[in-house]
This record gives sequence, C-alpha cells and structure tokens, in this order.
Amino acid sequence: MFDLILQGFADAFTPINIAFVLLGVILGTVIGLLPGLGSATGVAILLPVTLSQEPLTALIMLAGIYYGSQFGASITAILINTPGDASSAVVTMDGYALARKGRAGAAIGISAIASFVAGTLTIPLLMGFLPALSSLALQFGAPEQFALAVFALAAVSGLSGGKIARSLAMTALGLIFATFGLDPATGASRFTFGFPQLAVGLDLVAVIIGLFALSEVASQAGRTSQSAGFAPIHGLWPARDDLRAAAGPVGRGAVLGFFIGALPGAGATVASFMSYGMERRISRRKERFGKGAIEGVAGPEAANNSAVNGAFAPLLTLGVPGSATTAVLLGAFLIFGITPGPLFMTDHPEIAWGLIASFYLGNMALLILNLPLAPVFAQLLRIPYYYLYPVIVAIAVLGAYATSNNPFHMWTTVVFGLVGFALLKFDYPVMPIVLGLVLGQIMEPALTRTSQMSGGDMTILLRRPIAAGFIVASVLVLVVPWLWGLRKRQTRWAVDATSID
Amino acid sequence: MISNPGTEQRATLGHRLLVALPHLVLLVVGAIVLAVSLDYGWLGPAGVEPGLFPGVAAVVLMCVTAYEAVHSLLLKRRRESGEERPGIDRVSWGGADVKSVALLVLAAAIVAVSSVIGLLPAIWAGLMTILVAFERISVIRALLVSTAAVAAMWGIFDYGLNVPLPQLEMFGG
Repeated sequence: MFDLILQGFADAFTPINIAFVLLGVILGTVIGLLPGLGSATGVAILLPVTLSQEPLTALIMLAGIYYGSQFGASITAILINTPGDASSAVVTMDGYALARKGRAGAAIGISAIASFVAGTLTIPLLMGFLPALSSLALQFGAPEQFALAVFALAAVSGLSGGKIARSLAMTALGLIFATFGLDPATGASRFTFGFPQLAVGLDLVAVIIGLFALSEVASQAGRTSQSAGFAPIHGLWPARDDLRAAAGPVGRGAVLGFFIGALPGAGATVASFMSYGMERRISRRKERFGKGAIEGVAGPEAANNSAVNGAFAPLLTLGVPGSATTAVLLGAFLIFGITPGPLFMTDHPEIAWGLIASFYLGNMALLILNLPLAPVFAQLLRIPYYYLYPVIVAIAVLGAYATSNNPFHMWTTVVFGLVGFALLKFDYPVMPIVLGLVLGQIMEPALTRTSQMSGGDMTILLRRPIAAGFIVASVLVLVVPWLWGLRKRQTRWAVDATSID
Repeated sequence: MISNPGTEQRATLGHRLLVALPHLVLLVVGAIVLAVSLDYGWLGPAGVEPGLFPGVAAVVLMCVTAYEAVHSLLLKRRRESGEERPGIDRVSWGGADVKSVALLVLAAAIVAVSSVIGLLPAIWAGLMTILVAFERISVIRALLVSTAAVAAMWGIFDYGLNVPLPQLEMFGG
C-alpha cells in the first residue's frame, strides 16, 4: 500500500496537476464567495472546464474547487455576515463579530489555518480507512447495496434538522426522477413524456445546476442589488494567543468533522454546527461565544474542512455520495468512465491515490495562495450583485449545455431552476432530491437483483446481517429525531397551556 | 400575494388552503406517478416490474405530503400555541419574487431563442435584457458588460474547450 501512496504523490505532484489544483482552488474560492452558490454549484458549473483534461487532472481540479469554495464561503460569512454556503453559516456568529471588532484578518487567517491543519490531519485517516472500507464493501451483495442506499437516504432526511417530513418527500421525489428513462431490467420506457432525450434519464449535472445555481441566483437577484460594504482586512496572521486558543478546537473539530462527513446526509454543515456546539459546551468562558470567540471560528472551520475528506470515504469505496457536492463528483467520475465502489481502489489505484495525495496540494494552496490573496478575493464582494447574477445565469445555462453538448440539458436546468425556486419558497430542502436521483439509480437495479436472488422474498433484507443492520439503522435515524422533535413540541405546548391557564 | 402576520390568532380557511397548496400539488404529483406506475406493473411472474420502484416512491411522497397538508390545514391549533414554522405558517410572496420568476422565464427564453440565433447571441441578448430592463443600467454600460462577458464565454468554451456551441440556425449555421 505504501508504494501505491508514493505513486499517488508522484502522479499528483506533476506540473499540470499542480497548475490545475491551484486553478481549481482559486475558481472555487470565487464561487464560494458569492452568497448562495456553494460547493455543489461550483463543481457542477465548472465541470465542463475539466472535460478536456485527463481524468486524474480533472478530478484533482474538481477537488480543488470543492476546497476553495468552502474557504470562499467562510470569507463571505466573516466579512458580510452572509454565508456563501450552508456549511459556513455557523462561522457568521463569531467570525462576523470578530470582523466588527476590526479583526476580520485574524478570523480569516484562523479559518485558513484551521482548514489546513484539519485537512492535513485527516488525510492519513482517509488513507487508512479507504482500504478497510473497500474490503468490507467487497462483501456487499445486492441486498446490502439496496439497504445501504436506503440508509443513506434515511440519514439525509433524519439528519435534516427538523424538516424530516419535507426531506423525506423530496427524497421520494428524487427517487421518482431517478426512474425517468429506460427501466434497467426490462428496458421499458418510463416517464419520458415523448422526449427521446429522456430515454437515458435526467442529466445529473443539469439538474444540480438548475436546483442549486439557477434557483438560488434567481432568489438572491430578487433581494440583493447593492454591493456589500466591509472594513479593510488587516493582519491575516493571527496572534499567538489566538493560535493557542484555536489549537484544541481545531484538533477536536478535525476528528469530529471527518466522521460526521463520512455519514450520508450529515456532511460539512452538520459537522460545523456540531463542532460549534461542542466548543461552546466545553468552554470555560461560554459567554464569549457569539461575541467574537476565536474558538467559534476555528472549531467549525476545521470540522468543515475535514468533513470534505470524510465525505470521500463512502463515495470512493461504496459509490454512495453523502452530499450534493459528492453527488456531482460521482457524476464527474461516471463522465470519465470511472465507477466509484468496492473495486475502485483495485481497478483505478492511480486515480484513487493520486486524488487523495492531491488533497495535500489543495490544502497547501489554500494556505499559501488563498490566505495572502484573501483581501483581493474579498474585493469581489464590492462588485454590485446586479452585474454578477446575470453572468452567473448565463454560465449556468452554458455549463448545462457544455457538459455533454446537449441542448436538451439547458431545458432540464431551466425547469429544475423553476422547481427549485418554488421549493425554496415553500421551505422544502432540495438536496435530498439530488441524493434521491443519484441513489435511486443504484437502488432500483439492486432491488431487482435482490428480488431475483430471493425469488421475490424481500425478508432476505432482514436475514442478512449487514443488510439488516442498515435497515434497522435507517428506521432509527428517521424515528429517533422525529420522536425527539415531537417530545420537544409537546413540552412547549404544555408550557404554553400552563402559562395561558 | 400570500402573507399572514404572526400577530393574527386565527388563520382563515382560504389562507390555510393557500399554505397547503404546495403540499397538495406534490400530493397530486405523487398520485399521478402512482397511477402511471400501476400501469407499468408492480410485480409479475418474473419478479419486480418497472412500476414498483416509482410506485413505492410515489406512495411515500403522497403519505408525507398528506401529513404536511393536514398540518397546514390545522394551522389554527398551531397558531393558538404560538408556534410558527416558515413555509407552513409564513409564506410570503412579494415584488422580489416577481423579479425572480421573470429571471427564470428569461433563462427559458434564452434557451428557446438559442436554437434560432445561436447560444452566445441569445445569452448576449439575455444579459442586455436583464441589465437594461431589470436593473435600469445605462445601455452603453450594459453593452460593455454583456459583450465582455460573452467574449469571455466564447474564449473559454468555444476557443479554449472546443465546445461546439449551437450556431446561427436561421442563417444556415
């Protein structure tokens, strides 16, 4: 294995790959800076740019975009109190408070250092986990694959933060979208509405650009028109006291973020909020949180970055994306003719280890390139939004076309832009649609094979230990948060009723 | 415009129906998918038929959206308890949303026109429309921004990445 890791570093550290990871990190930072446009949108919009490259170079660049967009989103959160991405929302609490005290530079510096340290610490963890997880995944048959996909979808809804019913509805909608096109078993045409282009199903990238980029930009365009005002950024290197205060939160956030990131549906957002909650709970000076505590930036940023590494574990070894961004990355792998899953590490070791080695490059680029350039990137926020959003709409439409040179995909993007906007208005989460769409394409063939294996007896799912474990975990991950929410609500109603009496 | 300030104690039936509307729309979508899936067949002699998977997903969609719709229709009880949830108890549409929807319609127009005049000219026209009509920016400035943006897109996609962009069909391209 050590040889493979060394070979991975040799493959990743070529001049062309270094150039593309730097480009990816810079472009990702720019996308991440724009409010509402997160890493999923960034990777989806910029995917066409990578298509002319070798698979490893393209995937390295996309991973760079992923890292960069997380950092860009944090800059926006710290400077203008508007998170560029959901995962950086928690950073607004103390990051913006620090900025208001004139310490925006220190907050951005801590954000970059925490991300770098967490990323660097958790890459070896990822390297250790991947072979073990791959060996486990090799034991998976169709029932286990089906049960795993059920668990991933249940986790997306159960960990959605109080919107279980709505997430479940959107997951079901995504599963329905996954059935558009030819039935994998019989070849029967389903839900094509007379469009021959739909025979191959909905294009994942076009759907994501519509749901995340177009709908979000349309939503923002209705509200934002002026550029953001913020104070100049000084002193990007934090003081020694700041670094000392951040050390513990970074270490804890890194480990927590990695494992939370590996869970389907949880991802960087849940990791960053959990890290913030943990730091606040264990702090001796809780009162400083929300008023500019450096720990409130360091912990969540470390968790956020290491969650990105964690998210690659199920993607690469099980072929199961845990977030919208990893779903787009899965789409990118498939475009390049590579199928992530149990055999990925043995069939494509040069891609697997090269990609993981490139994460070091991405982390170094964040620290060496992006940190000094943060004040330059921040100037983008001064450009009035009415110049930016028309160009983003144009790039979204063009990006949907350019992924496979198919004009029909532009229509897919526009339709899903409208659907996404309506769902946003009514507070329905759109991320479960994407995961339903991706995992549905894994689940349905697995269900058919399971049925064939067992002669139609679906209790096979409960008779095989791994599959049964996933099914039980799926029920728990849905029922426990729901019961918890119900109990909290009933307690509140009881208190209200008492106060009325 | 649908709105209901939090100070109201009782939601009218009309309002409750409007708030429940998105759930009811999804319920109808689920019902249609379920009906179509039954047509495809769920289980046959060979085992799973093409309708089973979308059918089960449709049943889940219907159950959950029915639950949400009932919650919305029982808004009165929720209000009396003082609890509000965005999207259920507060759904507001205003002028900003008209602009958002207009932008999405314009995106559709760009796609529609692109098959006639070519994609980049359609994008250029779309950019001009947004900047001049939506944002009231001077024509000269809008011309500069739109032309620069389209030139950059041409440089990256057509020239740099060799993406064969849809051309001027009306001129035989």
